[in-house]
Amino acid sequence: MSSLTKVTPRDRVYNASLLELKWRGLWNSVTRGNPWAYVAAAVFVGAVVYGEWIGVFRALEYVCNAGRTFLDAKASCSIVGRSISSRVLESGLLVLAAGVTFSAITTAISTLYASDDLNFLLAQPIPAARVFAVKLLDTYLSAAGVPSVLTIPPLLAIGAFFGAAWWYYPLAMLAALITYALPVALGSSIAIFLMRFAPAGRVREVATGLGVVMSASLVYLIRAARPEELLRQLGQSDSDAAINKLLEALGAPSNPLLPSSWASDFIWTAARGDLNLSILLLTGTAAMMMLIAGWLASRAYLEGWVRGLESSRVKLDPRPRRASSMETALGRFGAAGHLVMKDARLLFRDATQWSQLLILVALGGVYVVSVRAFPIPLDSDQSLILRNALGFMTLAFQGFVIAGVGVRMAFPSVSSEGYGYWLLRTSPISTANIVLAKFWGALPATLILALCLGYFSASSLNLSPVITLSSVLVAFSSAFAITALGVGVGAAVPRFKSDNPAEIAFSAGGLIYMVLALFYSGLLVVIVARPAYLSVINPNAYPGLSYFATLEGIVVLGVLALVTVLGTLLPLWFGWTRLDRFE
Amino acid sequence: MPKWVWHKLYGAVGARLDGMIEVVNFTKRFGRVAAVNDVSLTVKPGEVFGLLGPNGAGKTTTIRGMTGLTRPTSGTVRVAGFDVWREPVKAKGAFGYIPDRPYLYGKLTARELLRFIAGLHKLPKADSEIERWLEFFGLTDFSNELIETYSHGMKQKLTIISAMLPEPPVLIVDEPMVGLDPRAAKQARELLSDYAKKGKTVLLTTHSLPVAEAVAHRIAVLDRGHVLAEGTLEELQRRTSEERSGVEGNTLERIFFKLVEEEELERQRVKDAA
Repeated sequence: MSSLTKVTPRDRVYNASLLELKWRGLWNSVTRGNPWAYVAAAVFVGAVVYGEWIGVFRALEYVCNAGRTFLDAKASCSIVGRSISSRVLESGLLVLAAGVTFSAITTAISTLYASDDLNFLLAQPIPAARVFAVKLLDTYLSAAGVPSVLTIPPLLAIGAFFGAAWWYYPLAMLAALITYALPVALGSSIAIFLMRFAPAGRVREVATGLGVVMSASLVYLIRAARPEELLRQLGQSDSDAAINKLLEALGAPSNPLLPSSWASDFIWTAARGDLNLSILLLTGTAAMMMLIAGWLASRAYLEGWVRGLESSRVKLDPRPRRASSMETALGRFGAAGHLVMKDARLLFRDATQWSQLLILVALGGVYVVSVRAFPIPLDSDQSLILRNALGFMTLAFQGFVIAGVGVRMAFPSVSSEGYGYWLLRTSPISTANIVLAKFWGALPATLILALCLGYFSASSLNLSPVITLSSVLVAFSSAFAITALGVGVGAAVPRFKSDNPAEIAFSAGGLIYMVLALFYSGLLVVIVARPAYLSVINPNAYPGLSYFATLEGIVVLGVLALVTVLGTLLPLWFGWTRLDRFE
Repeated sequence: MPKWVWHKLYGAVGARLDGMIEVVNFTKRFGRVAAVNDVSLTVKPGEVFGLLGPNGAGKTTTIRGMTGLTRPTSGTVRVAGFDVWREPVKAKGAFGYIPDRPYLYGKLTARELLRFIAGLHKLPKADSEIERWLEFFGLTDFSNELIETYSHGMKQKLTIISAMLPEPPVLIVDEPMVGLDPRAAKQARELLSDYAKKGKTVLLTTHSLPVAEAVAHRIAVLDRGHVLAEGTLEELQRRTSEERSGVEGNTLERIFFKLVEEEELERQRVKDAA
């Protein structure tokens, strides 16, 4: 009898591994994909990594050399360079970790409770905790995947610059990954709690409300970096006491209670060969957060999922409801107008979509607070140059803010059709009309934001007329071209079959869009650099807006107009051409 | 172009067309595998055409080719005289499509969805038609509810309404009875037959042989991407008069098994010879 039950190699019993299942799915999709697309992606990612590497390396060299003007060379590199770079890294980790925190709850709800494969997985004879663990990994990849990838090249560059020991590299990367894992674990724990206890049918709305609180926290955390303190002290650096005070301020972590400070502290000491114990604090906190999330999952994950399925409410009302006045008005623009109306309805009814508008408010808030925080006296003639120089810098930053909004609102607009795309595809509407409708639908949000930012920068910094007009024109150009870029790239590489909506913005296409959008912002800055430079260096040479009446000014405006038109039309054309070929 | 203008034009042009659906040497390859190989079909006005075949026969790929959801590797597909890939908007204005899986916008109500469809097809004064269709399928009570609260069958009914609301000259249907209760299934069967009686064209795929037998004027049996046979039920009966597979009588079920079995034997013979 025992020989009958003995398991032979032919009767192998398979141990179901969910991780292996995910890996197998990924492998199958990669091996069956278009190899040229992978080559293009590899070249692109390689260029981004190389750019980051060179940028960080050069920045470190610059910071070290800049310090030599007032301290000896060796000390400047070891103290000032390290201190400034440390603060920059800390701020970078803080901003990215705050961004992950902001989206972690909505991403966790989408991934943990709204993924398509949960019906299958949770019906299998496997513990719900294992399903949760895999979904937690999905949440991490969706919410923190791009920040993690973007952080690795600078860490490698820092290690190479300081000639770090071999152990620096794995530990520095671990520190960065843990910094992003903490908000994911926190967001997942809150998601479990909400799904278990929030009022039925209102779970996503409550989560979005918490998103508002988180966005306020984000503004606070950015402020915690205190950039104006740095400027103020740089302005007073005419005495040894001021220099010492500056070094002291730079050297100390801006907020010693934040994990991003621990990670930054560890990375800088490790790069120079010292093993800092803050890694233990970081790892311990992460382990504790994971344990809490696991404990909550074992108690409430399955119950919350079932509750989510049962939470729909139906109130029967057979009365005919006619089209609203807005629907009638948009309908006059034909099929594209109806598509815009449909998208507006979905935007305001789907919490995962309208919560993206909060990102817009949060980013605008960060921008406003940051510009206001610069301690420049508005009534001083001496501050004129500094104010206009700062105003010029904000032109580049505007593009970054609009790109950040666009990756969540414009880029996913075609993919958000999801499995329902068949309805558009088989209807008498061209792909060009679909893409244009998506563009017009996303443009109002980005245009209003861009113009508000442009106007606010100009008014709060009391900029020269030339930079004020440049600011508004750049805002206008950024809004059109960066929105078109988002819709176009999103249409060219649509993801209609995402398990959850959060995946769309954080895909490789999203990364490509972000890089192209930042490149476009840089291009705009280069175009208006000459008038801005003249306005700063010699403000009396061209009073008012007279610069733009010169031949050079007209050429600048012409180039700006041409770049805007091409930057808007080309991505849209590329998007609808590729979407037309999509099967 | 407004829908009514298109219908006027179609009235002039459509009457001259031999086939409202013309599939000519349609081949679709996925890498080295041909899901559909050199298929040619013509469906005439006023005809219900059934496309039958076992799982993986290529029915859905053929339908996706007709509706512009997949691009032919070679061959052409014309609907109402318009090439689906060269004149997609005109072709798509001429057909309604009912897929087997009713993915619809969950955050719209039924009325909002149907008004959206009416807008895409530029239908004038669609409100009364929308009310009539909702009443026909018993969805009026739920018409202001979000579609995400609907059952699978209710979504399928709404998909049928979406396809038929513009009254297209051609209806392309993939597995029409999936998820429908017996009453709705009977309604759908009658709807398809009545639609053809109005001079419109219906092409449907189905696994349900009784459904095909009840509504289809002509039938094509597809297996492994090839058309095994095509004709009216009587023509297919004549071709497969011999009893096979233990299924007796002149039913479509017997014809189907006979054709598939013949194909299997032929394939085995070629393999043995090789």
